[in-house]
Amino acid sequence: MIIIYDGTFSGLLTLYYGLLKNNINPLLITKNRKNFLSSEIKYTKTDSLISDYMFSYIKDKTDYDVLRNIYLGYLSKDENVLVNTFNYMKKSIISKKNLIKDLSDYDILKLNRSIRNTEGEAHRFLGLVRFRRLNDESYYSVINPDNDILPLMAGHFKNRLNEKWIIHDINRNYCLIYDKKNINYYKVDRFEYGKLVEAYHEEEKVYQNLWNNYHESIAIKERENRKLQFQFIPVRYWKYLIEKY
Amino acid sequence: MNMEVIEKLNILSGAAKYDVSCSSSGVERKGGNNSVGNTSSSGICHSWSSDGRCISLLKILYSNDCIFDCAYCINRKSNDVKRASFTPAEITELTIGFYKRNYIEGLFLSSAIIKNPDHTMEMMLKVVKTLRTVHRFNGYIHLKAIPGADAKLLREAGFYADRMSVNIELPSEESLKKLAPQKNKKSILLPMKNLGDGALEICQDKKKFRNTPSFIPAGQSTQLIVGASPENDFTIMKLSDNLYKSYSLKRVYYSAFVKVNEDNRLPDKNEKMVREHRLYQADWLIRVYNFNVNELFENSKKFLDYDIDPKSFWALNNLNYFPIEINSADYDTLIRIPGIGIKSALRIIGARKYSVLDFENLKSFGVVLKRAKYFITCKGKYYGFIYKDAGDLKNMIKDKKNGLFIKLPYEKNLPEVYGNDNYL
Repeated sequence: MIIIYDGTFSGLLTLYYGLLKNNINPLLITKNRKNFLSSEIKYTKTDSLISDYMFSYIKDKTDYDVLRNIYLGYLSKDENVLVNTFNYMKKSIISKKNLIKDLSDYDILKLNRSIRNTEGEAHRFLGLVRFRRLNDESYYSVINPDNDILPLMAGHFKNRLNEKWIIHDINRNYCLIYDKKNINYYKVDRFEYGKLVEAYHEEEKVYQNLWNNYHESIAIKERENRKLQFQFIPVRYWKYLIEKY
Repeated sequence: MNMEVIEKLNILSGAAKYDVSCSSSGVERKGGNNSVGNTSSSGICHSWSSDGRCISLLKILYSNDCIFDCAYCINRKSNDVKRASFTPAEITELTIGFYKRNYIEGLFLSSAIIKNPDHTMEMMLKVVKTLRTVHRFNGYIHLKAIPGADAKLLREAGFYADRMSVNIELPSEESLKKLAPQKNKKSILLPMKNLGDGALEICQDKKKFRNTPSFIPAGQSTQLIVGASPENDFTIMKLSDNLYKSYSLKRVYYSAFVKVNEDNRLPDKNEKMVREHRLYQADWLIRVYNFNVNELFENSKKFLDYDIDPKSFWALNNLNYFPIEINSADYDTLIRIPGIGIKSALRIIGARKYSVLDFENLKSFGVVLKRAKYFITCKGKYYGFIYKDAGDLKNMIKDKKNGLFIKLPYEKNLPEVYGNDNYL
């Protein structure tokens, strides 16, 4: 059975509740309304009461880490993992403990892989975010991650940067805005990367220039190793960096 | 920020690039409302330069105007290079500007010796002190201790820096005398000892008093040049082992010699990168994997085997320990298998609580079996090939570039046309 949900985390939890209750094994869980050939397509409705119930139910039956793993599975770029995540949740609830280390189980192995991918990418982007200081004294950055990693990065930058900052996920068209008090999520309707330059603070170009110079002069020319460099920063990530390869 | 700063940055970061250390891990410091930044214990890399090394710190010299004349150093007194010095204000402004744009994780400040060691250390201390107290900068700071500087200055700096390091430069006293005549063993080891003792003292105070300030919380490290002097690998590893044990250093960095000066005291060629690589591997084995230095060397040979990694080398010399059954071996045994590191060992231990593991399971976990398969059994079954002796096995696990592809005789006598690059 193919199930279509609204793409929110509480929507997913509501869906998992329904699957557990009716003992259904789904074939695919997705948020895209494509035309499937299969006739067995089901749409779910999000109910915050049910998702709140599921939240505490999972936490009581197993532990908080299971909930975290489900959330990480939800953030993954690979939608197929949602089914594996469901199976992992079901097995954990049945055995009343967190089974995340049971790598000989196929579902859990798949979930483990995508968690590693998501968390790894989130950690990498803690370094690869490049803020540009704008006219209005805010710091702006654009990133293009594969997984939906903004929620995982929010806390880090909140602790670190005591300025107004914005991190914009250009692949999903939404951004995080921190106003020195709270972090909020906003949808981005229209954005042109090329026009960002016009909003730069007067100092910004100088610092970008300094950074590019530094990036070049710190390399030991005799030991150039581009292959290694690209292993660490794949080509697709260079697009929104300040430095160029 | 003017053009002058750009030029200074070019000169003084270009001069600092031979310092290897770039770690920013091991300290957790929270940010506050009126301060800039925090430190995360995992360490974060912010970019990678074209030589494949990570950039996580703004790595610069305070000045390259040196009064010393060390043979291997690009900034030695007798070299005709452009000289420049930052002012403390320039460095703090640069650091904060870079940090807020998330280019860097903190500052790595080293310096050539201007006027005298005390003066140099004073200026560096001033930079770090301003960053921490005036700008309330909470990012990572790695500070080089200048050999021969006053102990009081070094101690004060230790309260502001996260990590300090004194470069040991060369693996023996004779080499130091020959290549860096103005430095001596005492001026290097004494500050190292003082810093180590200071850290220990603060550590004990912390148990009693809650508000004890932290003193180099990320510990000490050091760096030495490999290949500029004739010492063998055994001497170097013994030295590192000693530094880890008696000076409680966190890391020893090795830097393969790059010839930047013409000098008849120096060797003609650059040291091979593979030597540096194998030394690092051996270093990890003694630091993290509980290996003993003597285990990594055969009785007669004083150099590491550059064809295979040190762990495989040990395994080949101790084939009587193998094969190891992965379903029953304990952690300490598992991490001694070539190809199985800490992560793989933990994965195996986590998963075998639930079911008995077979070879396919290991593959799916992402355990690297290229070398490991010759040293393990899964459910009692061996998956490697049947070898006569250690030499036979060694040929098998060598890097493919040198080992597996046997050169066929006709490759040498190919007709002219195939020798042309256009056809390949």
